[in-house]
Amino acid sequence: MTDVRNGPLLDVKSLRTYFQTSRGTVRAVDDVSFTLESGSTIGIVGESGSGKTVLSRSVMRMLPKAGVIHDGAVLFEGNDITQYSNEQLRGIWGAKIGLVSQDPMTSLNPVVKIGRQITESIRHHLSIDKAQAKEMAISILKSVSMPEPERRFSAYPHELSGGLRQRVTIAIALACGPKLLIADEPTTALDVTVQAQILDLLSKLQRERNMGMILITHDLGVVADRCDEIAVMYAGKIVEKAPTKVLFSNMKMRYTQALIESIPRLSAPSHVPLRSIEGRPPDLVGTPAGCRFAPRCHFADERCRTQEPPLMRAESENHLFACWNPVGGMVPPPKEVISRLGITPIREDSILRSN
Amino acid sequence: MKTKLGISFWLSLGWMVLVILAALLANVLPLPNPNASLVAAPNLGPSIHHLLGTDPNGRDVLSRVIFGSRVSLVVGFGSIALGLLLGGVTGILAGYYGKSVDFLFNSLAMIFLAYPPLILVLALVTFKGHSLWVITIAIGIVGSPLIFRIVRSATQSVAQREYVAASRAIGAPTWRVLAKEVFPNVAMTLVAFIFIAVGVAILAEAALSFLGQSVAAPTATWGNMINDGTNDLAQNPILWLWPSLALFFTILSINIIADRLRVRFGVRDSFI
Amino acid sequence: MGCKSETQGERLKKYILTRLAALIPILLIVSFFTFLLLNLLPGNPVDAICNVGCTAAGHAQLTRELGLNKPILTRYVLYLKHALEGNLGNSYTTDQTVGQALAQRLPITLELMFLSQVFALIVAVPLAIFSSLRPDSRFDRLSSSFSFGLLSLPTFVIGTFLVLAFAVKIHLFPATGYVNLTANLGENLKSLVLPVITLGIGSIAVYHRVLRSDLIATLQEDHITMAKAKGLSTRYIMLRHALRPSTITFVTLAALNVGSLITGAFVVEVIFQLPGIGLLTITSIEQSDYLVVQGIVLVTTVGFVLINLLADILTAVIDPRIRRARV
Repeated sequence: MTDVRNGPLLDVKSLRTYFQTSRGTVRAVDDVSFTLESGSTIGIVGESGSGKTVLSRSVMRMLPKAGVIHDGAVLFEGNDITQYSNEQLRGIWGAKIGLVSQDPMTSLNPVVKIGRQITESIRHHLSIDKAQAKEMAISILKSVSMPEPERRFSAYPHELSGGLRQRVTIAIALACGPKLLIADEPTTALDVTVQAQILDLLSKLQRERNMGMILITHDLGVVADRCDEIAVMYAGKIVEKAPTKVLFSNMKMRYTQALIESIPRLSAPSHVPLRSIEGRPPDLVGTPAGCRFAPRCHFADERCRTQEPPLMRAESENHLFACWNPVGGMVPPPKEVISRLGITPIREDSILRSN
Repeated sequence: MKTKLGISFWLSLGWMVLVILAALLANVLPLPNPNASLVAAPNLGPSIHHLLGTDPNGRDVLSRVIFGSRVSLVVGFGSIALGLLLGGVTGILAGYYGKSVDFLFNSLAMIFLAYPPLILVLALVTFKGHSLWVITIAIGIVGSPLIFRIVRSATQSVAQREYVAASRAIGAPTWRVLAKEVFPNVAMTLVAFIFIAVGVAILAEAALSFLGQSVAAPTATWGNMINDGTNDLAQNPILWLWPSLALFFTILSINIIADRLRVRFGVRDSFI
Repeated sequence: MGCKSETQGERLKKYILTRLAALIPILLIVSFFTFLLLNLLPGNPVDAICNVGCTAAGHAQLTRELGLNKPILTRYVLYLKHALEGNLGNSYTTDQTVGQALAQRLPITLELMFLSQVFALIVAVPLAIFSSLRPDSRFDRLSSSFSFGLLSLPTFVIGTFLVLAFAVKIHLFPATGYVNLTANLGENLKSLVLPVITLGIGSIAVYHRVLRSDLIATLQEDHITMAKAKGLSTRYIMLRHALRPSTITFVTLAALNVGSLITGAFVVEVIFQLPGIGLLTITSIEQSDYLVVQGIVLVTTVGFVLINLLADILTAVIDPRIRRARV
């Protein structure tokens, strides 16, 4: 395929994924659109059950055919892969799109040696011989900072720690030099101490290789300084999308506000209770009319409960939000985030007034 | 969420009730003596007087099938009752006490499990005789180490739960903890397994009968009737079918009942 | 993190040696137990050998001849010593030694059991694969119900039906008899077609059910999603990634199944009059050929223990995690 194209690396247009179950239609991904350029990262943030993992699978077209309704378009390098046959899809999976999944303890086959799990992808897509594939795999293991890559090449997954295993899954995802990397909660299952290492590694590799990266997480703190843009998902929909700095300094959607308030603050005095969001995400079968966050929102009024807010443009560029009663002022993000992002903090009492 | 037992469960239960009633009431039912020769001409087809016809000795086949069920049911339920007594009690004790009690019983079970089951039953039957009781006891003994292993692991997992630890902690006597806390929970996981075990025991008796190593002739058993039927395939090609059908539907019913109960109680499917 | 001092191969070797060392006490205990069982049971072999008209003097002489007047432990040590020299005693009814009888009959039973397992695998594995690719499809439901039904069908009913259908009605295969493997391979296989199918059908049901649910579970695991995300074909994923962990289940299952396979083989040998161990056992029991029965119990039990050990070792070879867990 020639790389002469206009437009972004990935252009997702009104993507819908519904599952038909015995209880009714589950609207797991409902009219989601976003674009991603080569060399940039978009963070997709939401609680569990908000549809972020289904979104990542829908973007890859890696969902079962039976009982699933697909709609919308996914333009990857200008081609709509929703029209691809299985054979064509297998040609880009692993080769052009790499996936790093959530739990490195389960995402590696326990009875296949690590080397083989890397080389099988290389040999499948690049048709090179065994020795060359091994050489390539070892150099990839080196690039993910795997200690003793030659020895690890012939080890089994159970011989490695969680952090090292996640390096292996990253190596697998990168093996064929993909253009797009989808990292689905890559650090959720890891120790806190290892999380930052893995995220830094992903960011470094993404920059070095000029890949587009979709970083999916439930933790807004994780994506704060590692993404160019952040999309907040709630109940299958994107409810706010903005460049990272804009989102933290000028969020509009009440759900985003609640998410930011629930980030633990190291700077806060001890014994200050963490703010959590009351209630649970809605059932995706027969979602209520109106804003889907309304039942849990302190600011919801009659309109919120009856009329669904569309994605509206905020004053700054590339900032979309869906809220009838948007945040007027600013909620102060945690000091750690402020210092990492270099946002000018404002005084807290201004928010109290705005509410 | 409660799962429905389904029509297959109730049909199976109906068949089992029918078989058990027929076995209990066999003497009262208007049937000819199962061992009486020439109650009619040999090798008759099914008729009003002899619903399933007669065999080469002129014996009534329906009567023999019904009387034959007695052996299957006595051995099936009797041997598993014995197995539960031997394997169940030791299994609960080994699982609850652990340590040397567990080591003793478990080693004993492992010795029994080292034998191919049929070989052990044949060895016991050969040297003890071919009576109904010996067969029942032999199959019960061979089944008990398997029951022991299952009860033991079920007990081990129950004994570790908080409420058992709690009642131990407040000083409840051991027998009380076992009876009130451990036993009911182990029984839950056991119900489905017991049914499968009864099915296996009935099949084992039938195989033994077929080999001519169960209750001695002329007592009718489904297994020896099938064996007789295979020798008469040329003269009477459907004779073997009646005891085979009775055996098949009984085992199928037991397996269906066990499977539905397993799903209902949420016990994991394992290869027993 | 891996253990640095040992390689995988060394660990495997150590595991196998440990298991082999544990075999000796197991075999000693099991053989002694067998001896004890057959000798201490109230039914006396002399009674079994003696006919109704046996005199007291004849009884006593037979007891002496069999060495039954010596203490049990002495008898066991003697029996074991002879057994290790390959001498399991003589048959009362034929002029063969027990060893000769076993050597003649055992290959037939083993051939029957082996071929039946090959047949069961050829049928059950593709069935399980197709079932697991589309769980709950019409094909899956049909084949699963069929397997469930087969589980309730005893070997001798299947065998009788096959004899009736293929030997009595259409004379396709011989109903009984056995042609030696070395005499004529074609005829040998032909004489084994019906016995092998009869014995294999029961295993098909067991293997299909377990492999199916095992594969369905495996296919839902994350590492299969990851393999898909590499762009590998369904066929490759099935063979390389899904089936391989299932072979562990299969080996365990096949070893567990050997017990019922032995039962089945005995029954099949009686139906088709195959002169294997099963038929020998039944005739020996009927003729009270006590030493032959004892030899059979000993040999089959040792074989059974060895097969289970082999299965454990095989599992360790396939599954790298076990070596560490059990050593």
